Amino acid sequence: MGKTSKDKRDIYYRQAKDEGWRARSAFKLLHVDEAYGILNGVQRAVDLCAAPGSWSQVLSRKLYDTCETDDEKSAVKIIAVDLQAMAPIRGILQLQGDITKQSTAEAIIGHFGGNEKAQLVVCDGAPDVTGVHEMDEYMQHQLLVAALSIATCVLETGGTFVAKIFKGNATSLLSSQMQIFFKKFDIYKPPSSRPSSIEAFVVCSDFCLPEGYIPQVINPARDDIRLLAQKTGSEVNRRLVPFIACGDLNGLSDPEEGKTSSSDESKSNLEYVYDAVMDDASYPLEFKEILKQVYDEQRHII
Amino acid sequence: MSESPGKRPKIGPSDCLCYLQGLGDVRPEDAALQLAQRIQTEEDEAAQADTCSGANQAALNISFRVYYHIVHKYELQDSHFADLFQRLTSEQPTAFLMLQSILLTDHWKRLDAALLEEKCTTAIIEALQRNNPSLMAVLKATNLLVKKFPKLQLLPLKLEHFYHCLQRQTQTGSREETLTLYNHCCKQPERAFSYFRLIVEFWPWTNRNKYYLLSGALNSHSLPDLLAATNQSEEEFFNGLRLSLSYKGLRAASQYPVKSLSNQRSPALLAASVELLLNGSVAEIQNFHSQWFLRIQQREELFELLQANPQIVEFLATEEERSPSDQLRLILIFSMFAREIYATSKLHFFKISTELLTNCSQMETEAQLLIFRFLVDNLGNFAVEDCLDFFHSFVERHRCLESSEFRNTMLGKMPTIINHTAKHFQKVLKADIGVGGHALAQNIKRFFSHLQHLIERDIHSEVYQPKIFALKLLEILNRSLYAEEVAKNAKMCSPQQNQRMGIFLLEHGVFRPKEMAQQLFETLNNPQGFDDALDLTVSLLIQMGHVDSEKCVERCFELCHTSDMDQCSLVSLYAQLAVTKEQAGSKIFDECLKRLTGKLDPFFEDPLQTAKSGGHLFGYLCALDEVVKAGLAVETPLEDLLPLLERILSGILKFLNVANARRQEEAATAASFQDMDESLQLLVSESSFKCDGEEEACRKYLLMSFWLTLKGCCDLATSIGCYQLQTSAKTVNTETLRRCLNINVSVLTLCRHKGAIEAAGLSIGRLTRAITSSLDSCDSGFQMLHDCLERELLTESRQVSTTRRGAGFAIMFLHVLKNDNPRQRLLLHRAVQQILKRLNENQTAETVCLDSNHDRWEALVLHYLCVLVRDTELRPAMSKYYNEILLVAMEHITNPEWTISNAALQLFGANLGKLVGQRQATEFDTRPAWEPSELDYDELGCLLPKACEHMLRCCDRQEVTSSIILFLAFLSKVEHLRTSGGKEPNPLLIRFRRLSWHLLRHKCDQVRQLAATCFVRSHEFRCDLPAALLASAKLAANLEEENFYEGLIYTLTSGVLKLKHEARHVWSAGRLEGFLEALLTALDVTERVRRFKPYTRNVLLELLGQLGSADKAALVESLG
Repeated sequence: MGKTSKDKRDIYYRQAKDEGWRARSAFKLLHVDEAYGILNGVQRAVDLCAAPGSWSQVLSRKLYDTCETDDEKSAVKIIAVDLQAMAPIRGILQLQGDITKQSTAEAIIGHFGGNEKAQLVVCDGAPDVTGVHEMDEYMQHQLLVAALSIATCVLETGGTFVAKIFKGNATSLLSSQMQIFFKKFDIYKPPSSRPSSIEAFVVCSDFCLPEGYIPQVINPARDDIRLLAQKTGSEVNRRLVPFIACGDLNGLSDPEEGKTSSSDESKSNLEYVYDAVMDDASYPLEFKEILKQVYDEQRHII
Repeated sequence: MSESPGKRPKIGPSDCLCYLQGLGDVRPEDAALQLAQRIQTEEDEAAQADTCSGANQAALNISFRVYYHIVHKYELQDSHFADLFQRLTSEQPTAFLMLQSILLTDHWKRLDAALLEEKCTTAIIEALQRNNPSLMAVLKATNLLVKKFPKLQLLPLKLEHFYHCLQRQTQTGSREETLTLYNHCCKQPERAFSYFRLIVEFWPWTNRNKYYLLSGALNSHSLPDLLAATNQSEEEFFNGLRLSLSYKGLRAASQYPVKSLSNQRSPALLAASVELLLNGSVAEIQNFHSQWFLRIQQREELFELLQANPQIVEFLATEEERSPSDQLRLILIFSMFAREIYATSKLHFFKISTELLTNCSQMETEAQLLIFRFLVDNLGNFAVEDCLDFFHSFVERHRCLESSEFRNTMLGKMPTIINHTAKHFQKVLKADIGVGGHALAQNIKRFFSHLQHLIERDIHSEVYQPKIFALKLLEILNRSLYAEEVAKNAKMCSPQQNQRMGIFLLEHGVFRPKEMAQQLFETLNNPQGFDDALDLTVSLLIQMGHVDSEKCVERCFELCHTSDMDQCSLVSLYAQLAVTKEQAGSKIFDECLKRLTGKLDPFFEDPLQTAKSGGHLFGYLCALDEVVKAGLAVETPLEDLLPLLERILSGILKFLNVANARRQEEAATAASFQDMDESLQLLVSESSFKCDGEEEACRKYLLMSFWLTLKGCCDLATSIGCYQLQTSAKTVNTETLRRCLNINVSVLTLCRHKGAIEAAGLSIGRLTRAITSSLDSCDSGFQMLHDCLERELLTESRQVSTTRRGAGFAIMFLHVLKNDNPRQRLLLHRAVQQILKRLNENQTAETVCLDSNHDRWEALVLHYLCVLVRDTELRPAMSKYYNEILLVAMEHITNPEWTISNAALQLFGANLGKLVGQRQATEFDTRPAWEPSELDYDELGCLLPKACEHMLRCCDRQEVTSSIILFLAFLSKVEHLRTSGGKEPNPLLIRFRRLSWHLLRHKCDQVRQLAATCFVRSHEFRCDLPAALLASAKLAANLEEENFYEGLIYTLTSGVLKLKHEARHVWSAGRLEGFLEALLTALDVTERVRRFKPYTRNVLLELLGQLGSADKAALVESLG
């Protein structure tokens, strides 16, 4: 078989095959590490949406294979989480589970044992793109929220979180959401990510839970966010969870400020409907004149 | 055996003429009756065609001409077509085809023009409202009607109707028909002036249709007169027109008004062109050159204006070193006016051209290509010898350039170079010039020798670009010069002259066919070679004719016996060469069949050991396939190969599922990926071949051998089927066809390997095309395709395998339907209608939940629709279903079963792309902040009436955020465009305005953002949007609810972006600035915005940046 002249697989695809990576995406994590040193000193890591396993391979080679003694190896704990099973990787503990479920977070913590938590959480998951950019961005953001929320459950203070995003209008919101939990936040596009791709990666470090916040797994696609926000009883969660889930700003207000009577709300709804607002529109006179002329011309033609 | 009835012969013009000549023997009434029957037959055939585009219009024209000749001559009653005019509705497009024919007869003078006008205009409007494919037929008939009756005014047709006709680009030529009709209407001054004003003042210059429709008015009325009736200045008008040169999607459309302006000898057009050439960017000048220049007839006047301008004179004359940009500008201007400059001053022409040619190699690549083009376009002004020297060094310098555009340009100009050189060579031969002629001949010889050396060197290159360039160059030279029968390679080509020069070169040993063929043959032995380069090499060898068939046969057998798969795959290449000789082909067939048969038993015993010892099956299959494709006669009946193929196919599928079979004692379903992997492990572990720690490599090796063998089975089965159809279409054995088809179907439905699936897809497509082009739709062979689709893909009873996006099934669906007769698309329409019907029926029916190894039926058929919608070639046939398809997609995206909802999302995305088009490409480095859209709400209501209702209901309930986002994403690409529809907006538009306004308060940030965009798009920029933005700003200033406040800020931001984009060259800069100040005032940003959180204030800061309010931004930032 010859090579196709239109072979669109780039240098990273070929290099991945040569070096034994399951997918070219392995280089993305390698580049992130090269730029930010996220793997330095890490012994406990979680790879969310891990299948087919290229990022887990990176973690295995960088964290597990570099250990020189059995004791060092036993101290390394890397957990790969995905709905799908994948071929075994040295030093990787596979956990088949749904990252949007609380039980999965509990299972991850259980595997670490004792009071230990992860030092690093990574996620290269992405939805099956539809070609509708806004929808793809939204679904990716939903996945990211789920990953972030489970990370808040399993990360230790000072930990690092790296996840795929689709760059778009929601980047500003994403920044605000991430900085609730991480003191340092950056968006990075590795060289191995195609320029034409809208993907990039958030690199968040120095994890710290806001005072009063109780970690909980959030699935914006499934959960009733209002009920979920009240589930823990934490006032901080009640305010933050709607914002984290979907950018709901009304919940960020103080409790007293947010209270309005039902009659006031009904009144504002009536005042604010489109027809009512537009009736008061200040139509510039010149526009009216132009419109009149145009319609007069059209009527004359008919 | 079933006999296929022969297709009915077409009625040709000669038949009608002969018929006319025989009138003396037939009663006129009977003659008229027979003609009417023929017309009826033709109409019936046209009615069956997909979009009436395949109707035999010529036959209809002749028939009607003869018919009405008889009717008028013998004063007969027009009893056969008197009711035609009552049938002129959008639901009966064939009636308009007949009307076209009648209008071309002398009978047109007796028609009721007013009645026809009413019928035609009503049909156009109805066709638009119902998205009916009859539109094209109606437009054509209407154009003919107004040609015969030029005073018809067609008043019911309004501007929006023409706009929507332009949007419905589902048939070739529909734009031209629309513009022809529009031009007719614009001959009415009041109408033209009114349309012009509306278009100029209310439509953005980034709307493509603006250019098309402006040209209509300009075709009949002068620009100054038209502008005088508007508030537009001439300067702004041309600035707007010039904008098109920065948008790739607008360039072609901009040619129309330019041509119109040129036709009216507009001095303003020339002035604007001068301004552009003087001060425009290089990109603008390039696009001017490619798009406008040829449409401007007054090029000499334009040159004179340029020549009179001191700035351009100084620019052309300067001897200072030029920047790369200036180099490009110089070359472009010089190229455009080369003829005029040459006529004015040969001194200047040669001074500049010498500078360019001499310094070419020092310039940037883009500039060099322009110089190359310039030289080719002006060959007559230069000495042939000098040109050849330049071309040689140019080709040598750029042969390795990794740019297909550059390469194709060089190759594309080669015929012109060859033809020009041959022409001069001919002159030398005729004139028998002494030393000069000899010198030219030697130069020619040297040039082509250089090319030959380049070819002989680079065909051996391992780098793609020089290799493919050399091969393609050789192909051009061979066809143009060296072949036994030289072909015409361009419009201006003398094959005789080329052949004479070719003979000269052959006689002088510049090209040695036999040696060249030998070198090409040697390059074939390259398992790692590029596929297209190898294929082109084979093609060249066949063209050149020096094929050593014995060596090819020998090589085939050697390769069949190799264990290396890359080498074994070369069999096809040598077999293609061998089968050019019947004896060699027969030898290959017999020997390969014998060897293949002998290999089967050991293969099925131990496939890995057999393959490793040189027993790949696919090599033999490939060789046999080439013999069958060549149509060579062989002793063994081809259908006798089918049991062999079926056995191989069955065996490999069992191998891939052996692990599952052992667990369940019998394979119940297609192998999953895990089953395949485990099966390969078993086969490797149980093989007698010693893997020595390379088990994984052996598994990959075996899998590749398997899928290539499956590919070989499919290809050979299809070739057998095609052969049957070619040799005995009328008596084809349907059972044989069925077996050929089933081999492909088995791979598509029972195998999960991507390569095998794709190969089988192409193969079944080839077979389908052969069946549908050879057999009538009522033939049992054709019916077999319907049955196959029904059985394999459309019923719910069959077990299916889980594949990504229904891979094998979807590929089968696409290739079978795509290769149906494009004139009727019977298979496609039947299948799509069946799917839509069942999907709608199944909405309320409970379906059995299958296990994880099976896809739901709904998921599969949604993927089937998706591949059809995505295919560009099928768009004309599929467009009528867009509304229903979008509806079923929307109804299934909330299905709790993930596979179904995901398939629905894919389908929605595919459909959306077809409806709203692609993102507008520009010359700008960065993506524009606001991108225009040409789909408007009026058209949306016509195209997707049910889908719109569904979207409105779903969004209004606000139950599923993902659905809201999906629908808003769609609506965010729908624009409101003011037309002549009346003061009251479209009711649908009002509903969407209310909806988007309501969603500005949604709790999801992305919904608010999308709602803002939708709201802004639903208001045109000239009047509605400014008013709405002012009202929004006023409301925001006093609002407490933060989600709503942010939504309004998003609205204002989007609105400002839209105004800045669409108001260009419609509003003056001062006017826009004034409006933005008013907006800022209404927004009333004070310290009170402290009540909002930092995130919201950041959104506000972005708006303030757009408004250019530094002091307000500083205030907000100071709030912390």
